[in-house]
Amino acid sequence: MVRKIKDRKEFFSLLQSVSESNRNYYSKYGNWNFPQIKVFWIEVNEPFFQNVINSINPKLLSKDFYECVFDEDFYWIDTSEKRIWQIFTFAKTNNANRTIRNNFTNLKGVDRIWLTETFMKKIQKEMNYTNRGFGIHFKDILSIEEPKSDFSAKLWIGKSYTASQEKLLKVANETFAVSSIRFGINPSQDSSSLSGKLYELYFRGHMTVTTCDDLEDLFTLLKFIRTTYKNEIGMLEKECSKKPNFIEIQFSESINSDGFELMTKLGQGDMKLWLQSYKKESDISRYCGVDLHTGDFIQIDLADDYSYLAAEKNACMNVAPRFGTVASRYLTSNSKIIFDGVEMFA
Amino acid sequence: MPSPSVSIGERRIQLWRRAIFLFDKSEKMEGPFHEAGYNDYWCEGRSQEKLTPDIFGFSDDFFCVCDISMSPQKGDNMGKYKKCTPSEYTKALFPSEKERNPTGSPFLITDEMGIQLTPGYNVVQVFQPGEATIDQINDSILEEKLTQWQGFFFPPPSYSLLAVPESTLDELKFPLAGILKWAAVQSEWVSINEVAEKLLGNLYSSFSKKGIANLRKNIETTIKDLSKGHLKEYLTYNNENKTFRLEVDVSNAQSKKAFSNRINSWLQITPIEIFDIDNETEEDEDTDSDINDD
Repeated sequence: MVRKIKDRKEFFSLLQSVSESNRNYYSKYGNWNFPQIKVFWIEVNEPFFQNVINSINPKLLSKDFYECVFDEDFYWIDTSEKRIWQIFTFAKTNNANRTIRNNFTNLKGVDRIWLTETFMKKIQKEMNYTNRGFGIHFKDILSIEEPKSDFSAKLWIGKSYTASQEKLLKVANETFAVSSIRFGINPSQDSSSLSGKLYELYFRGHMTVTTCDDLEDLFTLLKFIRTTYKNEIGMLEKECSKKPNFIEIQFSESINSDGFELMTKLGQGDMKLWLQSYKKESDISRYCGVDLHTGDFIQIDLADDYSYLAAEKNACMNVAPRFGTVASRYLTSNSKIIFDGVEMFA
Repeated sequence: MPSPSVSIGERRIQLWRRAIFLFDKSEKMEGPFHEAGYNDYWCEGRSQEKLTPDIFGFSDDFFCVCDISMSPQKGDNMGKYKKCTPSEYTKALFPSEKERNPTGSPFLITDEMGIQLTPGYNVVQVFQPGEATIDQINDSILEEKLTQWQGFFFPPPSYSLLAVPESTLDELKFPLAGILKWAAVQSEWVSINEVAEKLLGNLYSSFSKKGIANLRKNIETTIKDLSKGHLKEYLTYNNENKTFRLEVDVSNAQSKKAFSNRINSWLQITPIEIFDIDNETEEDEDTDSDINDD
C-alpha cells in the first residue's frame, strides 16, 4: 500500500494523505481505509549509535532519515535526535512490537523508552488534551503453572459518563497498572465525522495515531514527548555523576520480591537487569549486577514498598524508568520515580 | 557497645552509609544535617591545612567537618580538625555567595554507643537509637535538628558501597558475584583495580592506599581461585597484568543460566531455572477498528 518514499518531505506528505483519506473514508463508510500511523521511540545510547545503524543497515533517504523493511512492513527511522530515535510505521501494533524487539531492542545500547503512568498523564495535561480513556493489561508472566492469568481491557471514555461508570473506571485504574492512555481534542459534535486529534500512548514507548487533522499538532506532540523524556534521563545522569547518589522508586503496594529475583537472577525479560543478591537485611535486600542495555554496573536496594537505585558514574539512566515501569506491570501496580524529593517523569 | 553488625567490614559499610545519609533525604526519612540545610557534602575533600576529613558538609552559611570512626579512642585525634577549613578547590565545588563560617567543633560520626564526650568535638551516633552529643555548635538550626533527631528508622541506600578493605573473603563473595555478571558483559579485559572500584563505588578515594591494596589482594586471590576452580571454563586470569576476562554468550538465555548456576554453586545457592519471560508478549491490541467512541 505504501508508495515509494524518496525523502523526509515525501514521507510527511504520506502521513498527511493517509490521515485525510482515513477521515474521509470513515465519514462515508464508518471504517478505515488505511492502517493507522504508529510511532515508536527507542533510546540509543550515544557510544552505540553507529553500531546500531550498521546492524540494522537501513536505507538512508535524507539527512537523519532512514527506511527499512521487516516482514514486508515499512519502518521509517528519524534519528535527528541522536539519543531518542523515532520510528514510524503502518504495521499492525503486534507485528511492529515484535519487529522492534527482534531487530532493535535486542541490540546492545538500544532500549525502548518507558513511560510511567504519571509521565503519560503529564503529556496529556501539558498538551491540553482531553482524557479519552485508558487500557489495562495484566499477564502473570512469573507463574510457572498453566494456564497463566491474563486480563486486558480498554476503557474508552466518551464526552461524558455516569456516576456508576465512573466507579468502574476508578476501580480498574486502582487495580491494574495502566498500559496505555488515550487523549485528544474533538471539536465536532457529529459522531459520524472524525475531526480533531485522537492518540493512544502506550507505556512501552509507542503511540497510535487514531486520527489527526493537523500534522503540525502531531509533530509538536512527538517533539514534546521525545524532548521531555530525554531531559529527564539527562538530568538524572548529570546529578548522579556528581556525588554518591540514588534514585528512589516508590511502589503503590508491596512489591513481589520473589518475582523480582526471578526476573533479575538470569537477566531475562524487559527488565534487562542481571543481578546478584549480595545482602539480605531484615527490611531490605541489596542487589548488584549489570544493566544489559549498556553493560553498566548498577545496584538496587529493594524494600517492601520502595527501592533505591544507584549506578556507576556516567551510567545510562534509562534504567530508572525501565525498572519503575516494568515493576509496575509485573511486580506491583504503580510506581513513582523520585530524585532528591522530586518526582521525575511526572 | 557497637552497632549490631557482626563483622568489622559490615560495621564499617553500615557506618559509612548512615554517615552519608545524615546529609541526605529519602521519601521515608531525612538526615538531621540535610534538614538543617546541609544539602551538599564532599567525601575526602582536602582542607587548607592539608588534612582529609571524611566528610565536609555545606549549608548556605556554614561548613562542617566530620570524621567517621568505629574506634572509641578516635576522639583523641579529633583535635586536629578543630581549625580545619575546606581548600579553595573544595569550596569552588560548592560555591556560595558569602564566605561560610565553621559550624563549630568537628563531628565524630560513630556507631559506638555511650562514648564519653571529651571537650573539643561533637559526637553523632548513627545506630538506633541515634543520638547526638553536642560540644559546641554555632549553627542554631543544626543544633536543634541534632537534638531532636532520633535516628534512622529505615535502612539507608547502599550509595554504591558494597565492601570495604576490612571485608573478609567470605563477605566479598556475594558482591563479587554481581561484579562477575557485569564483567561477563564487558568485551574487554577487566582489571583487579576496576573490581575494587566497583566494590568501593564513589567512596573509592575515601579509603587509604594500603586498605585498597589489601582489598585488591583479596579480590586477586578470589579471582585466581575461580579461574582454576568453579569458573575455570569461563574465566581466564592474566597474572602479569592483573586482569581477567569471562567468556559467556550473554545473548543466549541458556548460557546466562549455566553461568548464573555456576556462580550459585560457588555461593552454595540452589540452582535456578529459566522461566518463560524472555518471550513475554504483552501485546497491545490494535485500535484500527476501534474508533467509534464519540
